[in-house]
Amino acid sequence: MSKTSEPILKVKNISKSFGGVHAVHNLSFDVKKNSITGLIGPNGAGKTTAFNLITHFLPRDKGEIYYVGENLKNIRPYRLVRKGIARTFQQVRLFHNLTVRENLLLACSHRYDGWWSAFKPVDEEHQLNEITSYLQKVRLEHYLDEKASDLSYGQSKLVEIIRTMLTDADVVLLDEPASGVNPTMLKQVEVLIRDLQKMGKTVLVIEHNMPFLMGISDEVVVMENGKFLMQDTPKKVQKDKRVLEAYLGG
Amino acid sequence: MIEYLLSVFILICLSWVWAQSYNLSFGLTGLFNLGHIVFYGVGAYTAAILNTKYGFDFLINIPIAMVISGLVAGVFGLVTLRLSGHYLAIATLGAAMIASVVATNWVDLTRGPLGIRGIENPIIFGVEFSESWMIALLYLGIAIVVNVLLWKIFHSPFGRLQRAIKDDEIAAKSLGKNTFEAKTWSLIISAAFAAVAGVMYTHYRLFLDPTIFALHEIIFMILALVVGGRGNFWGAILGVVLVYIVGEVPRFVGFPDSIVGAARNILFSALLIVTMFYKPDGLFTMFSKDKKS
Repeated sequence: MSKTSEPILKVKNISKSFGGVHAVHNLSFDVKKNSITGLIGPNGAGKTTAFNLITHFLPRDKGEIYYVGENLKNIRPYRLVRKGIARTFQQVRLFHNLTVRENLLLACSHRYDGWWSAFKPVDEEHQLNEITSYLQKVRLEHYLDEKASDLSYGQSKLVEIIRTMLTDADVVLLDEPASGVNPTMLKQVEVLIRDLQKMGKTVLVIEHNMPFLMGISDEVVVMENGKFLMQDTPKKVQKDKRVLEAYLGG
Repeated sequence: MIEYLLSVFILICLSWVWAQSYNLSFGLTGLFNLGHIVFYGVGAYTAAILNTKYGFDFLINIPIAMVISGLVAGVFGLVTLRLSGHYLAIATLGAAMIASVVATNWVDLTRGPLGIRGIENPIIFGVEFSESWMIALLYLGIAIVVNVLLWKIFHSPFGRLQRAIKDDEIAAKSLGKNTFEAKTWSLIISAAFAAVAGVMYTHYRLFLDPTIFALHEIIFMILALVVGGRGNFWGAILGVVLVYIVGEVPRFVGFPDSIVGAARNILFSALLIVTMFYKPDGLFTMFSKDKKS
């Protein structure tokens, strides 16, 4: 692994409550540059809420988030993507009425999808070549002109990951990329995640498939009841008593 | 009879422009905007006022009306486009009512309920389009030009973004899209082309009063788009033609004037029910594999 010890993303004491429920409470952890970091915890631990807070899809009650040293405050989600933090969702969110090609082109077109694009010729050949090469890696190149609604769930997951890769963000947050995916496709998900790392990107992954997550992660952050439990290598996390208790309720 | 058919054809041409403009914001972007009538009306009033007070002719009125209507849409969008769904519908409906009240009460500018008379026929390079067949040809030409421009917008990266926003705005944001800005531009462009239809209306009817802001006008457009295929470029054309033809049936077959309106509403309702039952994405899907083409 080519990760450095320098954190690219720092989460510091963030909290979020819904009424009386503390979904995330004083959560702090670092994500090292060019690492694959897993974020785990039992159901309801607050992992997805933490993702929503990091990507500013939810406003946080308190705490700070630093990206490459910059304190991210009052920033809209779309601006955060342009800064370099992109994400996928727990439930696949492809544009179902658009083709795979259109879904993927949307990820790399924000410089030229203003209204003037109707009257100024736009050459998307370079983007299409990139898209095709990604699709070939996961053997989906023949689905380029299929509607997203016609893809299987696993195929949709793969396309969604590729779409996030195409945003050119340096930090990619993947919310359960392996859930509902068959073993063959799971390998392809792994290929894509490892590709992200080879491209110099940083990946933060929420996942319940432990063998998969422990196999790809450099570090794992564990949450329980909205709080930080520990952060360490997969080996140490798997042996930690607190983690076993959190999962097994021991 | 020829005169009657020409008048129907002219109305189809200007409604075609209006419906296609509405198809951009309502159909493609999915903005449930009931205030589109405002942009049509602003275009119509701009042309009427400029023509009667300053003698501006048809070709000059079109770009001026487009700019003014676009500016109104920009303000309208800044105020309303943070809302969505039913909230947006109610807010924009309110805006349409405000426009009607303004047109009725700003008597110095609009002459209020008395309306503006004395509007000229289109005059282009000194040629007055006073005969129905001349106006029919002119309006067909304008409708084709507007539709070519809108076709380019529909099939551009901008149009693709609008379809994505309609599908899933949150996902669009997650790809770095400023969806608020994109929706505002959709509304502005949509409004500018609605203004063209408004100018066409004014220079054809030669009279304008605040009833142009009547709610049934926007309901008629929604009907045309839903019947043809909301968000479908060709569906909007089919919808307008079909709704006009169906709407003219009672008059064509000789129903007394007293029941033409009621008969028309019954036919429209039947058309809508049949569409909802058999082709809920619009009747054009009968001819197209790709509903969004």
